[in-house]
Amino acid sequence: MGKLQNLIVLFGIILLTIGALATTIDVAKLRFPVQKTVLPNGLTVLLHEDHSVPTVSYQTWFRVGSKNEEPGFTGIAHLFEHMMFKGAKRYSGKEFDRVLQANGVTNNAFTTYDYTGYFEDLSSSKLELIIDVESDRIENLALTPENLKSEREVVKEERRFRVDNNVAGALQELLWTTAFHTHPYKWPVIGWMPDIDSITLEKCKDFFHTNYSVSNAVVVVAGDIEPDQTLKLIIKYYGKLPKVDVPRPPLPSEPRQAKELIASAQKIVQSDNLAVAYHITKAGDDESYVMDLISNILAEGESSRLHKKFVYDTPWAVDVGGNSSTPQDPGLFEVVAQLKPGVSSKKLAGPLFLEIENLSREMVRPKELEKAKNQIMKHWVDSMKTIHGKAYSLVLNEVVTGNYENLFEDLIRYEKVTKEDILRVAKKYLVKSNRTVVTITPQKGAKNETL
Amino acid sequence: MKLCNRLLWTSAVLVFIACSSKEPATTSPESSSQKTETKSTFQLRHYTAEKWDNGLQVVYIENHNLPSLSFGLLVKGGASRDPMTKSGLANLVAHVMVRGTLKMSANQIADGLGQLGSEFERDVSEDFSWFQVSGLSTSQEGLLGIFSDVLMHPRFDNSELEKEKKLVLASIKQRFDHPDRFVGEAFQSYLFGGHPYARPVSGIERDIKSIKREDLIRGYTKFVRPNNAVLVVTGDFSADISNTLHERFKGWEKRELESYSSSEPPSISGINIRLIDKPDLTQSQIVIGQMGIKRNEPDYLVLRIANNILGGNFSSRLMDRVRVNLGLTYGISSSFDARLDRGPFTISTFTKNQTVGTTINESLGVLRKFYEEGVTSEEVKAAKNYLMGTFPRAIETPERLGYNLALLRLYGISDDYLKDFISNVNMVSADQVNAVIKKHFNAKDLKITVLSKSADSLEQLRPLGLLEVKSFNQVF
Repeated sequence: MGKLQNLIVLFGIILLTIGALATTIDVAKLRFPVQKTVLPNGLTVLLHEDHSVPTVSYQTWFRVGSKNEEPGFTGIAHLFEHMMFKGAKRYSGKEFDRVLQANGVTNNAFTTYDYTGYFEDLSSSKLELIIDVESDRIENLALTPENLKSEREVVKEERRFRVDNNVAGALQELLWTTAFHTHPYKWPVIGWMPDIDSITLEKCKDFFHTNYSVSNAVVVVAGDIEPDQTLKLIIKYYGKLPKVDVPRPPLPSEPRQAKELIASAQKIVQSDNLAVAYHITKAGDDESYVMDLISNILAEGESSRLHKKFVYDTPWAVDVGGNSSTPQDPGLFEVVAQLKPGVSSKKLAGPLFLEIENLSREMVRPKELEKAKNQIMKHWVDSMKTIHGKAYSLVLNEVVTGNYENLFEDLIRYEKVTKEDILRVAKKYLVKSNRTVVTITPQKGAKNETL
Repeated sequence: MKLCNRLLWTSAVLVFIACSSKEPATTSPESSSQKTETKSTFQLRHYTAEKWDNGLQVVYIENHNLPSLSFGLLVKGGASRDPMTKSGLANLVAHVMVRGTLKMSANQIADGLGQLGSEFERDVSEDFSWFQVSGLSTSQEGLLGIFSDVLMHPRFDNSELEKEKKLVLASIKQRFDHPDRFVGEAFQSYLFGGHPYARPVSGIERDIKSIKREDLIRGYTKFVRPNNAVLVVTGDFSADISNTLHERFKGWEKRELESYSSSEPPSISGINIRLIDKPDLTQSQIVIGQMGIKRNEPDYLVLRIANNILGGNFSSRLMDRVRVNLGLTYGISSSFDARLDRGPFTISTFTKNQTVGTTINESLGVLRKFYEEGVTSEEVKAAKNYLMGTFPRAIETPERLGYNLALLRLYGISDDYLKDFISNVNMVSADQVNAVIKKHFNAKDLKITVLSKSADSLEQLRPLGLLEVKSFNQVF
């Protein structure tokens, strides 16, 4: 089989502890062993053994997302994800779904800007079956005009469901398409409706051959497995598949935003909805950790600044939430407010921006920073409670940052952030010229309820 | 990097709407035969249970794999026990409880828990309320202190009540902006008529406006009692946890519980359709259903297998016909929401306005064939394997198992349901499944709620059954 790069991560010697809590948590104890192998054909394999339940999570992620699409054919990455469930050679047509269901396997897939992930959660006795099924569809996917025809309609219904008849989805789409002008994050993952209509079978075949090779994939198997035996099985099924060069021309980067961008839409809704975003950094950067903490301080839960200010103290909104989204290329920090009926987004906007941008003027209190670190640490620990969660966290880090080991550095990197870092990064990003503001408001003349 | 990147998830699009694995095993599990299909023998995690003198049931599930723990309390009652003109009361009680105790203000509670990385979760449904805090095990004392204080000594300030009422009233208006959620509540209102399950958990506007502090105190005193609750402690807790709990909950006194019976829901004859007009929609939401079962129905498990074949997984009959073959929808599923009283059986889907009639017709066709011809032994075998195979994941974490054990105590069902789940599913025969289909389904007497632009859908619906039309703001 040729030489394999075999890296085994041993338990770390790092003894750093998170000291914010009364009694400290030993971060080193949160590490778990992972075996990483890159096959000669380029397939990256991550294996993690955990026998606490007789379950395995098997995930295959491809390094392709909507950012790799071309204008006019937006949505093909996602439509193609659907086509991956239409059967291959050894498991053809409806046999694909039938076999998985009849073997007690939970499966699904998702597409994002940067990657497309497929997963199966299964009893450990079904491992070889899943390796067979997954390697079959990478090698022999059947793409037929009939399948494309019906699946296209399914995807259009999905778009109507998630965006066209969904206020939150429509607001998200408006926010990102307004904030980005050059980088492919400017179009939605699900694609524009006319583009979904224009995707041909030939386009799907091209997309498959370009992006769906083992060389462009990461497979993670976590749970009730024997790593050596599992690796042998993976080599048996995937080893014969060819290495393929994946063209990845550089993507146009988003130029620095010069002035505030504003967009709005009207719908038959009961209240104003407002979203504000600031261009920020990308995954893995030091600043991304600072932005996660900023997001937490401002908009995570009932003890956050924005919730207290605008839902509790001056109750203009039903909900205010936020998120620092740092994909592979620079993303957005966003805050979304669902206002109370009768309260105008114009009334909220000024005070909301002031409260957000105040972080660039006043140093955060140490206790508040400590709270944010504790909340993030708790979320991190919660993510590791299931086999699926561990597998997901490993493959996410491998695909997005290039190395799964970054997962284990997270808590250390959050802990290192100081209140001075918060001030510095807030000054850099949370400014008016870097701001995008979008609203969806009740249609004039439409019959809306009044409170 | 942050692991739960909400934005990536919202911009991520799934191939189909997944059944969450967090769903309680009592309402939706799955898997593979223990004897024949799993090499590892599946066993429930070890847990212990006790009952205190004040009637409180306590379940402990110890797990030291991760430095985290949680405290959860299930309180029996829920929205169905709200007085007839006070819908939304249980929900308000749960939310105002965390807005201040005799010792702490609302902000002190939020900040205190926030500092420990936590938050006070509360979730009210038709039959019960669920309260939970969770966090790192180094915070055990702090978490438990606030948790017990909120449960035992809520202040119910008038100002907090008024604030919460305004929030709830705003959310009630905004129901209309969420078609999929709204149609579910609208269907229950249509199905249940004068039965308490007809009312949305968060209540209706005029009831919420009338609720006063005395109502909250009465609702709290009546239901949030130790002899009406199950406490679940999970995770990396300390060895002396039982003593600590006794100390914290000292003085929490039991109270005599009132007996309860509810009215009969209206009977259904033929196909009845309620079209709710919302003129901006390009996609119609559809719920088709009838009365289902109680959770303690002896046929529950066999019905789960039957439902799995009809609309409980990705290769179900409904999915195969309506989504895969016809491309009419992105998602279609059927389910029994089994409750203390008979809950609904529903088929839920959505489609563009132009195909709403076809989608309903096709779905009814699948239901009729299912009822009239029954299912095959191959289908039963596959459904059993699915339920058995997914079962271990439904109770994978101590929290999930704890929540399910609490639910069993609510419904008065033995823990054997979980202990023997795999072997009991394994024993079910195709004949049993076909018998329960004849007994519990009915393919001719159904209620259908459609949320749509009536100008597009009215004429498609007229031939399907007895039709009534309402505006979206006249439903409740």
